[in-house]
Formats: sequence, structure tokens, C-alpha cells
Amino acid sequence: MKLKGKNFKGKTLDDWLKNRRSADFGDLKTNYIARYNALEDFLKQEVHPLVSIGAAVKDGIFLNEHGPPHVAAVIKRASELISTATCELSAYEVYILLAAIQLHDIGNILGRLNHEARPTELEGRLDGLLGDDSAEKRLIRGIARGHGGTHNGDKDTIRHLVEDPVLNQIVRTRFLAGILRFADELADDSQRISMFAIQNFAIPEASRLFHKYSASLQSVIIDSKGQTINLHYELTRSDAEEVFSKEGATLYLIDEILNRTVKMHRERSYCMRFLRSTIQIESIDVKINVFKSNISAEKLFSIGYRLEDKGYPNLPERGIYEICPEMGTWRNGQPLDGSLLLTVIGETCE
Amino acid sequence: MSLQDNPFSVQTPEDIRAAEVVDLFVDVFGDFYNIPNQGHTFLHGPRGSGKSMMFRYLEPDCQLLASQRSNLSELPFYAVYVPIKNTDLKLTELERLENKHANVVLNEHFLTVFVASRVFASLRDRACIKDPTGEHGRALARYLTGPFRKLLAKAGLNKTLQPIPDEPLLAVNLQWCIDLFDELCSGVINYLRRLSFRRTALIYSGPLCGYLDFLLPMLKELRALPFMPKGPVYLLLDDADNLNETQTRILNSWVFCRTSSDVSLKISTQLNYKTFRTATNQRIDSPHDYTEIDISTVYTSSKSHYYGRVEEIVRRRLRRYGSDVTPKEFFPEYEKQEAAIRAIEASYIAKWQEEGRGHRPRDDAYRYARPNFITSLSGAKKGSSKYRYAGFEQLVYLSSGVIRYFLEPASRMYAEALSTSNGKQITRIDSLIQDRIIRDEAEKFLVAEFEKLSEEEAEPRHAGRFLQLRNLIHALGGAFHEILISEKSERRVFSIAFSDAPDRDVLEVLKLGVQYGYLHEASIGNKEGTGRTRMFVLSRRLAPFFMLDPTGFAGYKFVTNAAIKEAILRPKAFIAAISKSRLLEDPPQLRLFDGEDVGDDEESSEDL
Repeated sequence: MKLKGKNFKGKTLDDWLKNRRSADFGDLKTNYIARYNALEDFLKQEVHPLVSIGAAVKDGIFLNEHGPPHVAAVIKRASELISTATCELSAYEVYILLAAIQLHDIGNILGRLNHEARPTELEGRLDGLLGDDSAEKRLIRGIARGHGGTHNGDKDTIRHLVEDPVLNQIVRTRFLAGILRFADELADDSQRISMFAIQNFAIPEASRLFHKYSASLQSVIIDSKGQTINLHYELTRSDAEEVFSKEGATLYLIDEILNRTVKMHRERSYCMRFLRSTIQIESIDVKINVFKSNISAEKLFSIGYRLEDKGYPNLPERGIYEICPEMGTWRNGQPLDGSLLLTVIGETCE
Repeated sequence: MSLQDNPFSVQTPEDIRAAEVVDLFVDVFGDFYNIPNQGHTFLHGPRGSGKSMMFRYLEPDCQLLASQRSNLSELPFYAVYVPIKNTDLKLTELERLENKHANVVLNEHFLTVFVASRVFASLRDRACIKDPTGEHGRALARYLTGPFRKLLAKAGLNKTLQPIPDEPLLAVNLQWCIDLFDELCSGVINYLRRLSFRRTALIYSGPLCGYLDFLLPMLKELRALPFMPKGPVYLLLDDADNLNETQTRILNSWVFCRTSSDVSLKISTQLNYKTFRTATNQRIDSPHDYTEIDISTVYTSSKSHYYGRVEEIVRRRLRRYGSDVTPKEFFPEYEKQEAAIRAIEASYIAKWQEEGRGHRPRDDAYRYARPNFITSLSGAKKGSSKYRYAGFEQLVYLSSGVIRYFLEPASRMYAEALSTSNGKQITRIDSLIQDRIIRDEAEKFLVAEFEKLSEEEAEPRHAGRFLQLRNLIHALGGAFHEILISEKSERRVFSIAFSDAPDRDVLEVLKLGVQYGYLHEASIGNKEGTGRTRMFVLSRRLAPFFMLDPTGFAGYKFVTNAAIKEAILRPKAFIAAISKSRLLEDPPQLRLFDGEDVGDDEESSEDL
């Protein structure tokens, strides 16, 4: 049985999966609904609540919400993304995507750095809950891993995922990884923080900016028909005045919003490579309302901008040497140019 | 027959002891400098062109002997020979995975554990690790119970289920690793066998090892052991044409990773590598992903030192056999024939002032003397066979840039000479024996071997192409003979270059010829002088069959795609048309020597 995106408005992937019967999985004999339920229960009760604690212990950082509500938010965003006229997913693909979403952030339990790559290291009961087939488990972990980090030093993690049928089922690995990655990017709103902790300055300085950013992002709306993501931020004069430190530099919340929306634009542009033509999001519309204070309804002004691919693509500043770094160190660390070419030709002919 | 019995016997390099390899190997890395250097390299060459011998020489036992070092850790790299035989990895059972279950993942696991097993077998058999204090054995045991175990766990082999090496003896632990990987290989094979009895999917619950998550970190950690060289590990994958398409794509993905500072892949092929696409369908290309060497091109290009290399190889083999004679003395020319050719040369030099065509007196002599001599023999009934293909130089030309094509006939010549020597040591091979064997080899190459190849060829895409290739070879050989005995200014022709683009059918036939060594491919400036065009050179091994002159530099003719189609379909009509029509056109500026204008006759368009 296929999930059809055109009739999916307002529904979520996990609800859809839980309403399936074994027969909906075709030749597959495993009860994937029961397996997903067991996996979700285990992670919800025994792992997700510990993710932020693990990161705090390991790295001394106060992560924003990485527990069950964040997983639910990613599932919600993924469900919204697939609600298009042309998108269809098999029941097996839905299981694979949901299992990967459940796993995608649990690596944080051992520390934030390289957390994407860590689901394979977590052993014990989790491994058994993912079933017995090694290739299927590897596939789920690969999709989860594609949501960030690097693959052998390359940030283009999804490109390296192999499209390989599993248990006689066609699985669009990169397509699913693209959905997870972009859904995760869109699940970073004000639901993800504790206002109480912010207001009481319980958040360490190093993590405060991330929480304030999430707090300012009021809504994320996916407009499939308009092929746009609408982001709605709100900040007050006092929010705007606060100075934060990040990676040794000082900056304001608006700087972070500008940076993060550019990052979202990059993520959109990247993920669309794997989602077109089934899912098409062509722009991000940003609206930032600036209020006098939290207790005042008076809006001082609004800022709006649209992030989209437009204009003729500019070459990077250093031209070919930036796009192809190996040309910048072509021979003995020297960049390839006319005079070096002549020198090398001369040496070769000698 | 061993080298003691016959100095020219050809053995599988894998089976030759290090001392013998070092003694026999002629350092060709000046011609192929990328092979012993860090970086991924593809080495293409026909069967017998010396690829495996180069790889064998790079193995640590040979490198230690050649560099006169006693400690493995002093070597600049550690090379592991991984022969890909037709039966090792190309299991028919693997085809059952295609479009069904984890085809890429299971093939990669299979390839990874196969290579890993070879790594430890190399350490056992080729590394010559001395461990009198047991320190190295203990270091290996720590590696196995530490990082290696973690990697196995990551690959899905649960720590609690893992066997643990229980003693620090180096040899025992190396064997333990080999057994472990062989067991993992068997695990896949057993799974595949069980798969053959089912239609529905079958769960594979064994471990899965990949390149980036297992083999690369395993080798990185291994390099850190005190007895290992500090440089990179070279994986020498010999005859990678034998991998199936999925495995080929996986290997290309490894190349794509550009991990050459830790692990450099040296991949040899017999010109039939299936694809240069990765498992994720990206294309790997030279020079950014790897460097590429085509032995045929290097040894048939103007600057090659092939003659010198063969001379040195033969000299070493003769010396090892206990003979001090030079290769030229051992393979003498047919003196009567050479005297007659010299007389013709002298007459050309004498009349050059009045009617010479070339720039210098010896140009005409060189260009026409031997062809004229062959032509003079052609007049008599069955007279052509009187020309003798003999003499070291002529034999080198006839081997067409592939050392085995020199050694195999030389071995037969030696055996025949020995059978009539009444037990005396052989110091020379009579020109008559040389000629008889070399003619027989040419006939075998074009008749018996051709039939064998076309019968054995399993690839359906080649069906019917062999017949077309045979037609083409006969058409070209016949046409080149017609030109040799003609009055044309350039009579020694071995190549064709396209004046238009060859179509797919024609190209497939030509590529098949290249793959099996009947042709080799090069390029040459096009007719208009606006770029380059494909050139195909007939193997000089066939010269005796078509009564051609194999020596020296040869010219080429321009052809159209339509003309080659005619040759493929109607070879006799093609040959008949040669003298009447312009099926084969001269290059715009006919070149016997590329550098003629500057008096540099070493720069030919194609040699050998």
C-alpha cells in the first residue's frame, strides 16, 4: 500500500503507519508496525530523555529540546513536506524514514561532536529492536547519519548514500535522507526551548544564543503549493539589545537569525537536489516582527526578505582554485596558470 | 619448465620467490613512475605485459631485498598483492542479489573481507617480520583486542560473540585474522546459497564491513604498529576486470574517496574494466581521482625504451642461466638475408643524389630496402615464406610492446634448439628455428587463439563481433601487404586513423581488437589540423602472417568509417579496392618520421 501525499494534509507519518496492517507491506513477513512501536517506546522512555543530559555531561552544553517533542516535530515537518500532489511512499519506506527519524539525534547522548555518525556505536537493546537484517539496519542508520556532519570529510553526506534494494523492496535512500534532513532543519522553532530556563538564566552563556534563536522562531509553515517555507520570527527590543558570544565572537540575535536563515537556504538548496521533482520548495520567506516589549502589543516595525536561487551564479572569489582546490596546488603546491604550465612542459620535454 | 631448464620460461609472478623476482625484474618504474608513488593508479595493459611482475616486485619481501634493508618499518610503503581471479569474487550466486536485497552492501562486504584477508596473508607470507623478543606479537595482540575489536563490533560482530586471540605470538595471531576473514567470506557464500532456495527475501544477519567504516580505519590502525612502514598501504588489485559490475562500482567508490595518503589503490586491468562509475553513479576520472597508465601506449610511443627493457630482461635471464652471450648474439639475424638488404640499402644511398625522395641518403635506404627485399621474394612461387623473421631486433619489434610475446616464443625456440643440441649448452638460436616458431606463433594468434577466444567469450555484447573483428584484421593485414609491395612512397604501414568519426558498431569491433591485443589504440593529429583523431595500430605479432615488415617506424593511412565498415563486412573486396581506389588516404603531410623537418627520426607517429 502506498501513502499518497495529495490526500495527506493534516496527517502524520506515524499515525499513518500505525493504522496499517501487515498485508500493506507486500511480501515482507515482519510486523513493521509492532517493530516501530517497540522502537518508539524504547527510545521515548529510555533514550530520548537522556540525549540532552548526555550532551551536557560530555560537552558541558545545554542542548535545546532533543527529546520526544523534537522527534515529533521532525515527523510533523516530514509529514508536511510529503503532502504534495505527486509524492508517494510505500509502507516500507515510511517505516524506514520514521525509524531513521527516531534515531537521528540519539548520538548526542555520547556528545555533540560527530553525533550523526554515532547511532552505529550504540549497542544493546536498540540493535535488537531494529530487527535482524544487517542491510536494513545499515540503511536506517545511513539515512539518519545523512542529516549532518561529514562523510570522509565531505559535507555532501546524502550523495554518498547508496540506492540499493533491501529485502526485495525499492527504497529511495537519498530521497528519504533529504526529507529527514530538511524536516530536521525546519523543526527548530520555539517549541524546542524552555522559556522558564531562559527567563531564569539557567542556560549557560555558551548555549544561550541557540535557545534565544529557537524562542524567536514563532512559526514554520510549509506552503507546498506556493513551493515556499514561511518563517515567522518575533523579537523584542530587549532581545535585540542582548549581546551573545559564539565561537569567540560577540553578536546579536538578529545576526544569528540572518546566519541561520542563510544556512536554511543552503540546506533547502542541498536537499532539493534529492527531493525534486516530487517535492519542490523554491524559496524561504522570512518575516521578523520587532516589538517594543513582551508585554506590549506595539509592533515597532517588520523586516522581510526572501531567500531563493536567483540571478546568474557567481564564481567564488578565487575562481577555479576555490571550486577545485587541487588546481590551486597543482604542482609543488603552486596553482596552475600559464607560466607554471610552460615551466612544467619544459621540464617534461627535457 | 623452470628457469633452470629454460631461461625464457614464463611463470606466474605470484609463485616466484623474492630473490628470483629481484634478480629478474628490470626496473621499469622510470617509465611508470606513478606506480611506486603515493596515489590511486590504474594500470592498463594486455595479458603478459608485465603488470603482475611489477606488482610482485612492490611486495615487501622483494622491496626489502631490492633496497637491501632488513626491517619492514624502513620501507616507504607496504604493498599488498590482491589478485582478482575469475572465480574468487565473481560468484554467480551474487547475481541473485541484483535488484533484490542489499546488492551493493553485501558485495562491498564481500570485497572488503576478501581484501582484509589478503592483507593479513601478506603480513604472514611476504612481510619477513622478525620478532625475537615477541614485542611485535604483543603489539599485534593489543591491536586486535583494541581498535580491531571495536571495528568488528561497529560492523555488527557483537563483542560478546567475537573470538579473541589468546596468545601474543605474531604468526598465530596473523593466522587468526586470516581465519576470521575467511569465515566472514564463507558467511556470505552460505547466505547466497540459502538464497538460491527461496523466492522471497531472506534476512542477512551477519556483520557488514565497508571501506570507509572498516577497511580504511583497520589499515590506518595497522600502519601505526611498530613493525609497519610509516608510509601508505598500497592495495595492488590485479586483473580488476574480473570483478562483477557492482564490485567494480564499489572499487571506484573507494577510488573516489581519495584516501591515498593512507591507502593507495593500484588497480591493473586487461583493458576490459567494466565501468568508471561509482556505486552512487558518479564518474571517476583521471587525473583528479587517479592517474592512469596504458602500458601499450607507453611502450609503443616514440619515447619508449621498450627495446632497452627487453634487452635487459633477456640479458638477466641469460646470465641467470649461466650464459654471457649478448641477446643479439643469442638471437642472430639471418646473415644472408641481411647482407642482401644491406646491398639494396647501399644502392639507394648511391642513387639518392639523382632520384632520392627522402631528406637524407639513409632515409630512402631505410624506407625501401627491406620492403623491396620482401617484394622481390614475393614474385617467386611461394617465395614470400623465404623471408626470415629472425634476429633479436626483429623479435623485439614482433613482440609488439608486450614482454610475454617475446618470452613465450623465445622459450619455444630454446626448447626446440635444445632438442637437437645433443646435450650441449645452447649459445644461439638458429635463424631458421626463430623464423619457424615466430610464424607459427602468428598463425596461432590469428587462427587458433581467435577461435578459442570467440568460443570462450561469454559476454553477449560481443556475440558476432569476433567474426567482424577477424574480417577487419584480415582486411587491414591484406591491405598493408598490398601497400608494402606497391610502388608507393610510404610502404611500411601498420595503422589507420579516422578522417571522420567511427560509429558505435565500428568502434565496438575496434575496441574488442584492442582488448584482445590484435590492435592498440593511439591518437594522431586529424587531417584538417584542427585537433586529434583516433588511430588504431595492427599488432606486429601478425606481421609474419600477412608478410609485413615489422621493423622500424611505420606510417599510417586515413580511413573513413564507411571504408572500415566495408572491411568488416567484405574484407576481400576491401583489399581488392586498395590498389584501385582511395579507401586508404595518405596523411596530408606524409610522415615517415614525425620530426623529419628537424632531422629527428626518433619522433615517429607510432613505433612498434
